[in-house]
Amino acid sequence: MNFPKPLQLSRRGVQFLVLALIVLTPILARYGNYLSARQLDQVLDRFEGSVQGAALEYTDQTIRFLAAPDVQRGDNQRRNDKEALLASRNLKGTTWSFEFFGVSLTDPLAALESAFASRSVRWVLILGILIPVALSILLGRFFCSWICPVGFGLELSGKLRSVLRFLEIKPGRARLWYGNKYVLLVLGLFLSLLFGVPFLGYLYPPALMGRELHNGVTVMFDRAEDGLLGFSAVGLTLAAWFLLLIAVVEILFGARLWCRSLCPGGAVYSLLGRFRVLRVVRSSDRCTKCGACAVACEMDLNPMIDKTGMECDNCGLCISSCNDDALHLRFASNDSPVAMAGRREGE
Amino acid sequence: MVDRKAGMNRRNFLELSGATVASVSACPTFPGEFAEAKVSMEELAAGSAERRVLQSQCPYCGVGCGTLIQVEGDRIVGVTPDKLHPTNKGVQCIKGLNAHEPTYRDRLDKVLIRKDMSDPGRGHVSSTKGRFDEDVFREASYEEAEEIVSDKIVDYIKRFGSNSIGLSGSGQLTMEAQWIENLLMKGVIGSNSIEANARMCMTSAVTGYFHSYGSDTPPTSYDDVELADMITFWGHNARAAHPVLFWRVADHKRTNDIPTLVSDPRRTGTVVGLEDINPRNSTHFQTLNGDISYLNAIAHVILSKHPEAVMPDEWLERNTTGWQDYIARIKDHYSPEQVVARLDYIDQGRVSVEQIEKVAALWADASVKGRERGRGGVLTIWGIGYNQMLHGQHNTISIINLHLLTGNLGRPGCGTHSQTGQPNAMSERLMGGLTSRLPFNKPIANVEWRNWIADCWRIPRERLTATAGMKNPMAIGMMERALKDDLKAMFWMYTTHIHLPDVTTLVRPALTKMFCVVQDIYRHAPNLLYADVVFPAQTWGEWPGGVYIQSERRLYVNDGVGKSYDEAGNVLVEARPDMDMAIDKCISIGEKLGLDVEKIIPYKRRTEGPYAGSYDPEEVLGDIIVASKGSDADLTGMIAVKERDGTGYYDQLRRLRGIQWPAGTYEVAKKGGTPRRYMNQEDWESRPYGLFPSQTGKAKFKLCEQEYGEKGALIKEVTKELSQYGAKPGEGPFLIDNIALLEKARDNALTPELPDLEFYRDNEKSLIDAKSENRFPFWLGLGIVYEHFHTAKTIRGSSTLKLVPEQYVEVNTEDAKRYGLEDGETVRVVTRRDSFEARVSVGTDSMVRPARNETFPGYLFSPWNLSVADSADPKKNRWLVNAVSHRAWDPVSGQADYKKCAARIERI
Amino acid sequence: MVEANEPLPRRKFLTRIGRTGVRVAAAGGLLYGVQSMFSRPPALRPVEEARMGILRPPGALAEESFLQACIRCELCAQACDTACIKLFGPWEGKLAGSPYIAAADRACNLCLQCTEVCPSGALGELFAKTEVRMGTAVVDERLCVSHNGTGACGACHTICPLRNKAITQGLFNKPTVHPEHCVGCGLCEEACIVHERKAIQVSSGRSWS
Repeated sequence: MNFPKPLQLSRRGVQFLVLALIVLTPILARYGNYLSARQLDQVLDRFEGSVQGAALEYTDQTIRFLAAPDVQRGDNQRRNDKEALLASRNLKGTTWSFEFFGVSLTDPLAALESAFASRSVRWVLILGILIPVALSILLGRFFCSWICPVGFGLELSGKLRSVLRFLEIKPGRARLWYGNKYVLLVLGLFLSLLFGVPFLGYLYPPALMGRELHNGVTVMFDRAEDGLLGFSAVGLTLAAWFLLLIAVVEILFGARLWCRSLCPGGAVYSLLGRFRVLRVVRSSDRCTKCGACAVACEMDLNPMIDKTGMECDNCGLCISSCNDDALHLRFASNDSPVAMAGRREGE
Repeated sequence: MVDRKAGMNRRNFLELSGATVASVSACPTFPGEFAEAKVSMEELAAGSAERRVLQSQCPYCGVGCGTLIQVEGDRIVGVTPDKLHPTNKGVQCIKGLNAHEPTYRDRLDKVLIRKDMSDPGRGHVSSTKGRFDEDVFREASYEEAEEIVSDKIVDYIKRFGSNSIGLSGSGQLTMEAQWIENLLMKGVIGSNSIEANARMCMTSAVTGYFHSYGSDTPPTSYDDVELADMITFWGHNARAAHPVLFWRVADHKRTNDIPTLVSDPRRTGTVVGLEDINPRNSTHFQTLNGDISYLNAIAHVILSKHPEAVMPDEWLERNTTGWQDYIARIKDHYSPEQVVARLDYIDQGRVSVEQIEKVAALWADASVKGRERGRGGVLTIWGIGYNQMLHGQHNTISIINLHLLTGNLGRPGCGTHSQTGQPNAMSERLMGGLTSRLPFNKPIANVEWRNWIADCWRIPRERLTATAGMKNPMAIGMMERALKDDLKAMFWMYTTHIHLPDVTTLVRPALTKMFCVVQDIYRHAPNLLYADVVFPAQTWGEWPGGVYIQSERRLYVNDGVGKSYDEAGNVLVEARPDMDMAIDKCISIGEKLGLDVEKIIPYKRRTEGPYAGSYDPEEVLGDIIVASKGSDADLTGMIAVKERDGTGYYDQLRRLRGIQWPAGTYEVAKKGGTPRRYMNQEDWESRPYGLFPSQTGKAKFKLCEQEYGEKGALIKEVTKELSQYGAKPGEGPFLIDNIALLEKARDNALTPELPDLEFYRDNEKSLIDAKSENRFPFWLGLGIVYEHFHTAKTIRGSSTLKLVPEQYVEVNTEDAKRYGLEDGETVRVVTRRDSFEARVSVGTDSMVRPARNETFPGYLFSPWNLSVADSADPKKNRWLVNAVSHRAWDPVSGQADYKKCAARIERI
Repeated sequence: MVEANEPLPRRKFLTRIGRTGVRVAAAGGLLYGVQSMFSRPPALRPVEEARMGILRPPGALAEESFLQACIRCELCAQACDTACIKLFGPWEGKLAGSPYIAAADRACNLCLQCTEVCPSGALGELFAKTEVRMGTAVVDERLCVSHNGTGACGACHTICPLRNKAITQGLFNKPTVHPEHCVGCGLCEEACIVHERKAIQVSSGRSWS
């Protein structure tokens, strides 16, 4: 195995950052709660020595450092509560819907569903999906490979498949038809229309994960006084079980089954990215047809046949796996291979 | 990567992965159901354990509502009002209804000893005073701590004299504990330096009553409210401080449309509540410090315009002394016009001549009505705001003067009623737990009574005689004595030092020097900051019984479960009743002083039953009742009932829902005591006095004067002189060396401080100017808020803390506009001594709760209840209001004036 | 997966039939499951609470439109100044994931951050606290200590952000609610000292089914 290439490193970095953000937002929310109730000092006192207390403490220090420098009040330096509160409000939400310094970023699937369920189109939602939709049209399913925290988790949990192999248990290699996810999307939207609820929102793993993390952190603070973590009385939720089930099935029976073939959100992004301009392009003259890229592809695609279509999520694993420097991310309107023997370049 | 893999064999990998799985399953990635856990209605109805009910008096204000404590097992779970109790008739205010909430929070569970103790014996001052963190204390056994305390105390007694030991008791201790605490100090230790938080509560009324009637306490009953023809409140925001009493008044006003008067610098909820019922016969004197003059002016109007309301000369001659001088001076010097002009410097004409004349007419009308009917008349109720003045005693005397003049006493439905702040301050004064007082309304100078009490205490008579010769200039003076190294050690029982004024420059430096023994219930109580030895105490509802006396002289029992718990449900083994700890100190100190403690303390700890391990307070009560014989608070009728009917003392109190003292005979005790005192209202033949228990047998008139000088010249001069006291922490000058100054302030009815009124009236000046020029343009008053009582309990109860959670300062709407203060803004209120932080609450629509009162322009108000609600720890505490108050006190009653500090507001 | 265009042997044909069957069955099962999940009655709740209805955050659309428009993100809950907005658990049928306020626990202080942040328009924009109409407080005179003669409380009046308008006080601090001013924030319910069942509750008129 080669040392991870910069492309993969940065992708991991972004994935990790996103995950950290959606863990951070509920903590920030709590921090804001305590600030606005003028209780932060008491809470910091009370939670001293616990994980929650540490989380609050670091949040406080970071915000004070970045956005709300202390002010001189009478004889001593004091936290600038007003500024800190404003700063804490800048990041809110999860990947399902995120508010970033006042800019709303909503998953297009959410907008679709809400539109179907309520049989109307709301301009706030249109505003919210503008940026994600535009980016998806340009970059394809980049959400799945660069942003989605569940995709991140499943990529990591997929590594356990090699552990199984090490234990001489052969993990399954089941495949499902890619079209399933479009069927599921249509079915889900139909159900939303029928029952007037955003049905897929209950099934869509990143939405579930965001909700669970929010609830989890909230419960963590609410029960902080029960014990160190406050989880003694807490079991796994339905959604958590569901996510775990996906991970286990994928480990045992087939890699990335959900993302490839079942994810309704993936379906939306695939459709949006049908005519993406950033693509993995193969250099026909450098390629030695070694097949490493097809093995590396988590979406079970084969870059060597130059027909990844709308399923490719631009993760770049194939590029990193290529020992011949034959694959590159390029602005292109289709998957046709190009000749680039004359030029050598890094990724 | 390859190398690492090779280095790992399959077996240790499996072990590792097993550990990983285990840690993952414990790891909280997806915590559970967020549905709230709510108890269903069925479960609630069924109840979880058997409930029983204990009879008790509410532990908060001096109204003394009958309260039933709900108990499950040995734990207090709730409180309900007692429908059969004559005081509250099944009604209670928000504090009482939530009295169970703070019981098990933040409890102190171990005996603690400060590692670095202050030892004035060898001149050592602790370096850790002012801190109560875990590391400054060590845990100790009760016996060890007891030994250390008694050794030190006896050592100080022998080296510095017994008066170098002080004690601060409480109006929240039981009557039995107060009796023992007084015995401990005056009898066993032989020190006259015994004070109580009751000193700051109602001693002005005490000394006023003594002066005029010859005996202490309100002669009235709450039932007089429903019989009165006019009710006046002085310095009393009754709706907040004594809600049940206020609602009885309001209900009476609604049904019978009686006229009312409220004298208060703020337009309080009391004023608004009465005006809501009928604005036409509700008057509000918005005065600051002018009460004496206005009372005199009312007398002047009655004398000149309503002579029919003045008692005939023969009556005055028969019942009173000094009336001619009084009338002459009133006629000469206190016409409404003169008074309004004289007070103009401070009151700015907010009380008008018309208002005074209107009130006088109503007063005269009600007096005549009451006299003709034989019941009713004017009932005057006053509160702590009225008592807490440099001329507090004169305030009381002025009210009694007017009542004597118009004959509003000696019959049901009228009279003078001072309302105490604490549930048992009435007992603290009856038990004489103050400097130079003996139990049952007698001074220690009274030789006959002193010998009698020495006999009752079973101590040598000469011991008490020696005590009588010692001096102690009352609570604040006692702190000054400590700073002058005259006081070496102190006991603090069930009270807090932050109730005293001038905490920063006076009280805390004094406590730092002294050796302090503290009995407290909360781990983070402010007293622990300065404690050298800490004993955990039991609290209300946990005591094995005990008597409280409320403002209508009603003795009532406080039953308890006998056990203390912390929040987690662990029994607090070390928590003891305060009385038991006082008894143990009598024994250990008495033994080392060579006294016959077996004789002094014949009580024995019980060995079985629910109260095993504690002394029986009923035994102590028996001794108290015996000692009351021959006093004007005779309770010996209870002995007769016990002998004849076989009913125990506590059972008598339980069955009758309290007995009002005096109860000198079987019949009186049997019907619940004496509802009204003086002028032959006591239904009790052998009582030791006639009309009044004074030396002449008559009530005494005394005109009290008020004079600010030309354009405030006099008040400016005196307050300027007073302003040097408390300028530097822990240093002189001391007011005990200049009592004449206090007397001068008292005799002219002045204030402890005077704001820069000229500066305030200068419209060019801003808050920044005040800071840069070091001026104090505002009046600042400290008081209480409805939701809270004192500083410990209600801020630990979630229901009451939720309603008023943070320190606020009430600012007049015009002032806020003029100085650009925003509602809800956090500011610093600064006086010459220290400062505190508070949120600005403007007017009655403020977002800062409770926003019930409107102050007058130039007057700020903050409650003292939230003093340590943020934190008792001085490093984190921002709300301690008594850091700013002035130490000047009434030279007779010892009460300080918390209501008239000079302050400025600084933005932060 | 790329299907090769070649004649189908029997076995492949049967597999395909089988797969289709599985898919149809899965879809049917899903539909049945969804149908039963979204039409089953919500979890049993105390009678009183059910009578008062769900308390939604400020600016919420009418209940049916709200449930249709809400995308079940948790932005409102994260924006909430008092952390009073909670989300329904997964077993609550169509309510699952939607925001509510359990006022008895913690009530809304009308900061209106949630209406600003809502990405779906399910919480409509509001410009003033007085515009909020989450419901109306209702006093149960049998339970209220000031009304039933066991106390003089006044907690609800003290905490009311529109005190003296939405709630006024009578003798013994008896509260009277004025529906024309009441915004239904629920602070009175939170403050009420009758804990087993609150004597003042906000009625939102939003049914639980």
